[in-house]
Amino acid sequence: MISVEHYLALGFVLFAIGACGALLRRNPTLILMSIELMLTAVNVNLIAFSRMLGEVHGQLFSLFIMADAAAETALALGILVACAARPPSAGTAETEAGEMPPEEFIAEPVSSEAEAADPAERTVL
Amino acid sequence: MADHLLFDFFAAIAAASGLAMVTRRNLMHATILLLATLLATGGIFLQLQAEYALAAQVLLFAGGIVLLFVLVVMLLSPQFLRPAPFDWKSFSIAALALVVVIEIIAVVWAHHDGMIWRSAATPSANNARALGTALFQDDLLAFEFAAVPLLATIIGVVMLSKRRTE
Repeated sequence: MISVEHYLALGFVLFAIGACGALLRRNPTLILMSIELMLTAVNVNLIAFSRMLGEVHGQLFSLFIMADAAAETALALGILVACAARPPSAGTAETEAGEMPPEEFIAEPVSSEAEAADPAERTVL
Repeated sequence: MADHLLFDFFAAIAAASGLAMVTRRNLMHATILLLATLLATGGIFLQLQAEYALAAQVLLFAGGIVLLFVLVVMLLSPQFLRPAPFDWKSFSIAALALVVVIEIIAVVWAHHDGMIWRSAATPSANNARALGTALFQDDLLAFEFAAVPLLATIIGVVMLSKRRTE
């Protein structure tokens, strides 16, 4: 029989990996993925304890965590895409303060008239 | 014995692909590795007799969130896709953290008294039914409160995309 410590150790390792990724990587998308990893580790712990106690409430909490993780990811990725469409960077430390963003990152300024004149050429992003 | 083998299999996949995900430079590879981690964790859930959690994990995490990540990785400008430079100084800090993690696990292992599952806790024959009863009868208020952040997210995302088209 596998003891609960096995699952706790797995949750701990996953959480540590996720925390290291969230703290050490600079890429915002990868930081989000690391946060997902941390939330999954928490779910492993909750469900293991739920099994240990013979209760269903741990699984209930894990479902709430999944719902919140989905909401958080959707919102964060929306912010990421919104920031990618305009000059200020959403990268945590990719660009120093006061430094111009790299050339490929500066979006073409789209005036409202040009947009109205040719809706087909609007940026999809 | 088979239990142990299964656990070791899923745990090894989850931990290894999680570690690979964090150290990957290519974002698309990292996304696929995240998918592997989430599916392996789903196997762990199944072993813990949480079938509904497995279903939610596969549908919501592996299906929904990873798809979202793939779409955003493909959408974003090259600035975000450019491989992030590896910072070896911070990875030495990570190595230190790893030592601490191993130490904590070793201490827990040395003091563990084999908390195995309570024998009285027989697995419920219908996990989804037990979960539904708890969710919609005992904890209905918590369920309703869980909907609030979802609503806030919908409003937030709509506002974000609306601002850009104006």
